[in-house]
Parts: sequence; C-alpha cells; structure tokens
Amino acid sequence: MTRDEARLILQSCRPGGQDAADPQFAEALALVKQDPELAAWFAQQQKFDALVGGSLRQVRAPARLKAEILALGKSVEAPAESPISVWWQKLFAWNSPVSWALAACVVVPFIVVILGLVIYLKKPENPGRFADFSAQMVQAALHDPHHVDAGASDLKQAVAWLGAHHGESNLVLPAALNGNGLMGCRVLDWHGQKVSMLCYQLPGSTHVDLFVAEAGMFPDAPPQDKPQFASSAGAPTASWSHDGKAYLLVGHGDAATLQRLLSPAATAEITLPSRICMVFARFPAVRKYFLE
Amino acid sequence: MDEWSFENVVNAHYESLYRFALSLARSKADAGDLVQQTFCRWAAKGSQLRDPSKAKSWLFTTLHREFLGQRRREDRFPKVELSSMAEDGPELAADLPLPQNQLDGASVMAALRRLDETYRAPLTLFYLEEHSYRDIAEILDVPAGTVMSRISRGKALLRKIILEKETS
Repeated sequence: MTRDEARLILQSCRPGGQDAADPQFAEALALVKQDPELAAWFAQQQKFDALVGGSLRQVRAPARLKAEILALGKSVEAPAESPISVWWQKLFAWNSPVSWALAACVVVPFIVVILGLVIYLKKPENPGRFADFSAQMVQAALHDPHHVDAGASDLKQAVAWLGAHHGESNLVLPAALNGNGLMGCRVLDWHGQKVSMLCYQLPGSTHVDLFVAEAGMFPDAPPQDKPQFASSAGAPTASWSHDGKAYLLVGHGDAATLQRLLSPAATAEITLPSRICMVFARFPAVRKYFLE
Repeated sequence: MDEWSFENVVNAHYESLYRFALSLARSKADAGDLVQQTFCRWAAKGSQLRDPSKAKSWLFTTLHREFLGQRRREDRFPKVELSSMAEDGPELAADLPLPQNQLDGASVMAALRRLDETYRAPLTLFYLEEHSYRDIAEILDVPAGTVMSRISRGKALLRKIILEKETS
C-alpha cells in the first residue's frame, strides 16, 4: 500500500476510533505507525475531523419537532393486514411447500440446462478426417525440427514411455517394425487427442515414422488390417486400422520401401512384448495378412 | 418497555436524522418535514423490519430517499419560500469568520451546505460518526469505494470553504 492509498482510506476513518478494528483500515493504520510523515498528516486530519464532527453535533433539532413526531406517530397506525395479504404471505412464506415447489420449478430446469450445456461443451470435438490427420502427421514427420521426444532403441521402453505420457501404448506392429532400427518416440496432439509416434531407421537408410491414434476419432478411418498406400506432400504413406487403432506409416524415401516393409514376405514371426503388443495369433485376420 | 417502540426509536435517532436532513434540505422547515415523513414511514412500516438493529440504517436510508423524491418533484415544480430562507439565513450562513478551533454547529452546517450534494450527504453522515463508510454506502446506495473517494474529496472542499471563510 502506498502513502497516497493509505491517505485515501484513512480519510474515511472516523476520529472517535470506531473504525480501529475494521480490517479495511488495519493496513493503512499499520503504515501510519511506520511512516512519521503519514502519522503527522493523519493526526492533523483526525483533529480537523473531530473539530468538524463535534461542531456538527452541536446542531440541535427544534424541541417542538420531537413532540410533533411523537404526536404524529400516535395517529399513524400500521395498516391492518387484509385477509388476502395474510393468505398470500402464508402461501408464499419461505417455508411453505408452495414456495419450495415454485422454487423447484425454476431451479431444476435451470440446473438441467446448465448441466446440458456443460456436457455439450465438454464433448470432444470432431477432430476431422483421417486425410487431414495424415497430412499433418506427414508435416510433423518431414519438417518438424523436434522429431522425437525420447531416443529409444528398445521397443518395450519406447512403448512404456508413450504410455507414461498418455500416448497410445497398446500397439500391434508389423513384423518389420517390431523393434529393429527403432530410434525414438514422441507423443503429439491432434485436436486434443494424443497420438503416438515411433521413429525407425531401418537397414538401407530407410527412415520411416509410424503414427498411432484412436480410430474412433475419424469418420473415415483406414480399412481394417489392410494397408492402404498413398502419398501426402510428396511422402509415401500407408495406413490401416486394427483393434480400434488407426496406424499411419510415413516413409522418407519412395513408396516401394513402404510396400516392401509391409509386404507379407517381409513379415516374420513377431516377438513383441506381451503387455504392449498383441500377438498376431490373437488376431487371425492380421496374421493372415502379414504372415501368410 | 419495548426497546423498539416508536417513542424510543424517535428518542434514539431524531437528532442525528435532523442534522442529516438539515444538511440536505433548503431550510430548517424542510429538514423538519423530512424527519417527520421519515418517522411517519417508520410508524407505518417499521414493524415489518425483521432485524431491529437495522432501524438506524433504515431511517437514514428512508430519509435520503425521501429527500431525493422531494427534489425530483421540486425540480418539476420549483417552489421557494422566501420567508423561510430569510429566517434560516443568519443562523446557517455563519457570518462570523471562525478559526478552526472556534467552529460551531451553524458554521459547519453552512460550510457543508455549500458543498455539492454528491459530497454533502456522505460527508455529513461521516461527521455524525454514527455510520461506518460501509453503512454510508448502504444508506446512499453507492459502492463503498465511491463513498471513500467522495468523503476524501468532500473533506478537501469543506476545508477550503472553511479556510476561505476564515480569511474573508
């Protein structure tokens, strides 16, 4: 509190000491004790206030006024309450059932509307189409200088890290991406939803990034268990869905590389950690595509 | 005896109410009328007040509203009673220039009445010393911060008026 602020507040402090206990004045009065200049100013103010207040209280009302008021009071009686007003007052008294019922009629719909509004506003927004997701992930894969959040060569550790950072961690990976050449991982945000990314540097300088998101986010999620090859911003992509997850593989080379990685010939028996990866044996359709 | 009987309420508050009314009104007669009307309302409606400790605040609030209502009517139909003004003149004008240590009720009231009503009402209530700034805010129906700034500004103006009176 500055001296000027204290002065403004102290101007409203009555000289009789009635306001000493008011918390509003406590800080300003404490400042008075520390600041001699403020203390001198305040003492002068209080002296002036006491002088003016004392003088004002010297003003006396005419003696006849009191007698007139008392006489008037005797002639003015509080109007008798009519039966109708009594009836209304009883009906709408705060503790009457009618009052409570009326209050409920107002309050309950109000609460319902507010709750509806809250639920509506909290509903996750429709993030968009898979094509948009694909385009943005390709941009992240190709141009984002911050490529991975954590370097990792062990798939188990990478998936554990993803899980710890609220990313997708229940993954079913093609054999070619079962951990060999893993460089790192990252969690991205897509319209408030977490997306996991695994970065691979495979033999032959093949750099690929795999993105995994909830398939339910997309009205046009890729086909189940069957990679769909395409390109976005010049980069080859492959996308598929499995067990409620949408997978997007982005290559940094040519399209043939992705096709080779996902071809049945390239797949072999998968040895992914049991907690994080579902073995293909549990999903015959996947196994059929990749292993047969 | 009922502490909140009409007579007891009048005894407790009519002097302060009159001082407040006198600072607002144009004449002693108008101030007396304001106080009478206020107690008249109390006689009719005071019993409806649930918390008797609010009686003082209720009376000052009612008097102020009564004054504002009268002023609105007078603004539409101006009426000045010359005889009344002449009667009040010598007492309220405080002809004698007084130093601060010789201020009396009439000179203070005269100085207060030279202030704009914006400052006069909160300042009078402040100097009556019966109301905290929060009470004053409630009576005048303005925010507490506004009361503080009006008291501060009003005091400066009042002091100036008193000093001018001293030097004249």
